[in-house]
Parts: sequence; structure tokens; C-alpha cells
Amino acid sequence: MMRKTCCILLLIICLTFPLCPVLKSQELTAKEILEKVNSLLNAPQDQKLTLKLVLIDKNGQEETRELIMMQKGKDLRMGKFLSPASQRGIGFLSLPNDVFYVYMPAFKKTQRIATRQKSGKFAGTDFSYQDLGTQQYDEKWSSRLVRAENEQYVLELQAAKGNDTGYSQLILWVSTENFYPLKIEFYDQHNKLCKVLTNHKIQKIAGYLVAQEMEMVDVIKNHKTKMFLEEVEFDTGLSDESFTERYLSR
Amino acid sequence: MKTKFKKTLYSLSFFLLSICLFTVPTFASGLNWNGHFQTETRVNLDNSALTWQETNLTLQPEVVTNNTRFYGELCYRRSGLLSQNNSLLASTNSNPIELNEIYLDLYAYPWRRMDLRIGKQLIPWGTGYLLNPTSNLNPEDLRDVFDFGRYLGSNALKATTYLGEVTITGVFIPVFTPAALPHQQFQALFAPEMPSLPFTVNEQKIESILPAENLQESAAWGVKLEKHLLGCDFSVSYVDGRYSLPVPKITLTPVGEKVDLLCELIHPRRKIIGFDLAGAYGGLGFWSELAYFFPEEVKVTSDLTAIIGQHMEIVTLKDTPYAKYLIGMDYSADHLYFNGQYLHGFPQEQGKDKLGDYFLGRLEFTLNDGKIKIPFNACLEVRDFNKFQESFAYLFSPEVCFYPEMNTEITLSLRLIDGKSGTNLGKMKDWDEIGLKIKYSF
Repeated sequence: MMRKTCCILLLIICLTFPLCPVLKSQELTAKEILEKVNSLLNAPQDQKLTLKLVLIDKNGQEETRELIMMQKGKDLRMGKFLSPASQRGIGFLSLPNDVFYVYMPAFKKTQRIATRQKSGKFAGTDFSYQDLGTQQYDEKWSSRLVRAENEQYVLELQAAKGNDTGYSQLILWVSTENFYPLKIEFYDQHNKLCKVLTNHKIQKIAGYLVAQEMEMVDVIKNHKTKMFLEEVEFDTGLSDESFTERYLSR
Repeated sequence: MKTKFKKTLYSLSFFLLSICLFTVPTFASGLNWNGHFQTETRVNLDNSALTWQETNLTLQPEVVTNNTRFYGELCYRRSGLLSQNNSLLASTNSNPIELNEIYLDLYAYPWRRMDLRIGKQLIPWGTGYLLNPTSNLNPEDLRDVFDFGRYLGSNALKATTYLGEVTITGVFIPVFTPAALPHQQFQALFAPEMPSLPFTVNEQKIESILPAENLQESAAWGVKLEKHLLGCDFSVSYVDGRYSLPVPKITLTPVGEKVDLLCELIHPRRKIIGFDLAGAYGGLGFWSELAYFFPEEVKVTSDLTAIIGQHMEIVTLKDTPYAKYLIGMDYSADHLYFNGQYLHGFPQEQGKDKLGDYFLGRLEFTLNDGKIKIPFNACLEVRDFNKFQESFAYLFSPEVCFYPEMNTEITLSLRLIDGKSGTNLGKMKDWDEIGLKIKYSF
């Protein structure tokens, strides 16, 4: 009798095991998942990245750009183009409270960028200034867990009041295993799908999860930008001073 | 003496460049060479005459280390108006090789909150787009009158101190450099009006007078304080220098019933207090500049008792303070960028009663994934709002810019100008042109 009971229990455990992620998803709310996403993306104290951007148009023609980017915490980010020659030195600085500067070497000036301009294309890529800025999925969005499928949470994020990102809605696919966002759909102000970001080759480097490859597709223009991570350094002790106009114009 | 002084300066600049180019690489890991090639040709629409040709090769050596940056801009430039047989009628630059900039940045020196920039440099102050009433340290480069916003580099020492949210910049320019003027055919645009005289002029002599070559006469300096406040960037500045464009100083000497006229083109002193503002609200970016000028009076009293029985005073620049200002905004959407500015007082306008009003706009469409841009530029000049019909002029300039390859830009432009003769733009109404410009960056 005892043996029979143990077998039944084992069978029940085996049958219900595949449903564990669903049960897990039911345990976590959308807000909690986003908090985990945010803490994962902003886990390093600071990071320095060298990125290669490949722009591919609808005819398959490619253009390559190189960019260095630094980030500290979740509020400070700065980037600068290394190539091509026509865009070398163009830089951006993202600060808290939606303060955003662009450095234009041709004019030798730092220019403040209006909030809505941040949703415009950054130097011809499919990433907007906003996309390149720090990602805060918990503060500017009201979220809803749509479903959990294939080891992924699917979240719907609606722009909260005062959200000026230029997007009305985001759909996020988040890994149930490590909470890294795998795919994001961006919807414009008319609630029409405009861009899709996919993260590939997610690996742990120096203890932090990083996507080695990102692809942003503009589905309206049939144009895409692939971003390859060439070099990365974490926790190098960047000071807040590195994220000022002083350093942007260097 | 002046030529010798200039020669010494040029020699010093070339010496500095040579030293930097040949020694810096041995100390630093990498010398990067960037630059661009540009050629531009313009044709007059009325008579199909070739009116402008420019060939420009700019090389930009750069060495960056943790605490220093060396940067140079060496330019080979041949530009000018073309004669009927297409040879350069008069080149606007006598020396085709120019050093636009050559400087060394010392970061966090002599203390961690200060950066120094030493050498020939551009010091662009102001928040406006291409036109900046508060940018008065570099002399204007007016060799191509249709290329607004170009300046010549100045040999200067610039120190920028960062004190929390406040940034203080101090600039010292020891040697005065006059503005680069356009070809004679355009100089009337920039030459101040000569007073009408009730005499017959016997002999007229024009002399260009530069300030004496000592620090007291030749030097200029400026200081600027910047702060981020209430979501906007504010700055207040003070400049003490000289007009880089000449002002005539007229002396009359009686010769029988006539007069000999001596016109000395001088560069009087001016002090300028400037205010800048830049910010963003929703989808709009906005900026504003105000420059309050305190000019030195240019006045000559000539003894004409032999002709009219009294002395005569000719004032070509009053010492009445005057203000130039600019208000602008911009907006961008998916494929569109617009910026609009209102300007009171163009860079070459000097004196309270000489300032005009200008409404400027640029509407830019981007097509084909950024491979084509179509900007429309427009400017409306008004000298007197009460007599608008008699005192306005306009410039309209659509362009098509193609980007066939990375780093390559081809621009086809059209410029139409019309207006009343008393306006600045009206004086250029015979210069409707079509142009082709090719730029390759490397």
C-alpha cells in the first residue's frame, strides 16, 4: 500500500513538473518581473562598452558604425561615435529628469535635446536617443503579465501618464530563467507596431548577463540595425563627473 | 613692422604644428588623421556665369591621451569668384594653406576642476543655430557671404573651471585678428554707409589701420558663467575686445573749395554683456540670446573754417549702447525637422540705428532611410515694420542632399533673393544662384 502511494505521488510530481514555470509566473506579478529586469539590466555599478552597429536597408545594403558607451547606475549614460568619419565625435549624454544633450563636433557645441526629439533616430540608426538612454521599465509604464510561454514571460507595458518616450505600448518577452529581456516590440503613438528589438547571444561576462548581439528592426521602413558588443568592462569606478558636458565635449 | 609680426606668428604656428606632428606621436600611442575634401561650384541663374568655386582639403590630426588632447585643422582652400574665362578672378584667400585650429587641451590642469585649451581655436558661444549674437571672440570669416556662421580661429588661452553645477570659462586672446572680408563685389554689403558731404571731394584715400601690437591695444578677453537652473541652461558672459569688421573714421582736410577725404578703416573697442538660455519643453527645443553692446565712439572733428567757417563733426559709430538678440525653437518628428529663429541685428550690423530684423527658418525632410534630405531655408529681412512694403527682402533656398555612400554628401542648392535696395539681402538680389557641393569625409 505504502509503495503504491509513493508511486502515485511520484507520478503526480512528474506530471506537474513541466507546469512549474506557469506556477512561477502566477507567483510573480508583472511589476515584480519588471523590477527583476531592471535590477538585472542595471546591476553593474558602471560599464564601458564598445559597440559595432551595422545598418541594413531594405535592399540589403550595409553601413557600419562604431560607438563607445559608458553607463553608471540606471540614470547616467554617455556615448560617442568613433566611425564613420562623417559622424566621428557625435556624442550624447543622458541624465536624470529627462535631461539629454548631444555634442556636434562640426559646430563644436553641446546642444540640449527636446524630449520628443529623443524618439527620433540616433545618427541614422534604428535606435532612438531614447532607446540608447537608460532603460526604466518600472516607472514610466503600467504593466500587465499577458502569459508565460516557452520559458518566457510576455508582458504588456502601457505608457503611464507623463511618459514621453514616444511609444504608446511595449510588449516584452522576458526569460523566465534569468529575467533578461529577449525581445521588445515598440508601438507608436497610434498604437501601431513600429520597431522590434531582439537580444541574442546572452552570456555572463564578469558575473553580469549581457546580450552580445542586438537587432532593432524598423518594421515600417523595413530597415534594421544590428548592434554587436565588441568590448565590455564592468565596475571600473567611473565617477559621476564622467557624465557631464565637460566629458561629452572632449 | 606689422608684416614682420604676422610672419613671426605664422612661423610660430607652423613651428608648433611641426613640433606637435613629429614629437607628439612618439609620446602618445596613436596619431589619428581625419578630414574632408569639399568642392563647390555655383552658377548665376540670370546670366549663367560661374560665380563661385571652392576647393577645400582639410586634414585633422588628433592625439588623445588620458589627460591631453592635441587637435589641428590644416586646410588647403582655394576659393573665389570666377571670371568669364573660368579662372579665379580674385581668390578670397592669398595663402591657400591655412591653420584653422591647432591647440592642446590639458585636462584637469592645473587642478582637477580646470581644463585648459592653448592655441589657435574656435570659441563658439551662444545657443542659437548658426547665428549667435553672444559669440564675439573669434573674427568672422565672410569670404563666402552665403556661408553664415563661419569664424576664423584665434590664438587664445581658454580656461574652463567646473564648480559643481556652475561652469566658469575665461578666455584671453593676445593678438587681434580682423574679419576675413569677401571679394570686393560683396564688400559693399559690409562697408558702413559713408556720410553724404556737401562738398566736392578732391582726393579720397582709404587706409586700413590695425590696433597697435601691444597687449593693451590688441588683446581681447572674455568670461562666461553657466548654470543649469529650473530645467534650463543659463549663461551670462562679458567680452572686452574690438570689432573685427572695420568701421570708417573720416577726416576732411580743406583744399581750396574742395576737401581731401581720409577714410581710416579702424576696429574700435566694444564691451559686450551676453545672456544665453536653452531648454526643452515637451516636443519643443528653445533657445535665446541677448548681447548688449557698449561701443567706443568713432568721431572726428575736422577744421573746415576755410570752407564753411566752422568745424565739422563726423560720427560713424555712436557710443549709444545697443542690443542684438535671438529667439529660436525647433521641433522634430519622424521624417521632419523644423527650426525657426527671430534675430535682431545681423553679425555685420554695428550701431543702434543699423540693426535689422530677420526671421529665419529651416524645414528639413528626410527620405529613403536618411539617404536623401530636402531642406528648405528661408529668411525674411525687415528694416522698418511701419514701412514693410518698402523695407523688406527675402531669401529662399531649397536644397537636395544625397548620401550615396557612407561619408559622401552631394548637395544641389538653389538660392533666390529679392527685396528692396535699402535692405542687406536686397543688395544681393542679382546673386540668384544654383550650386553643387560635394563633400567626402575620411
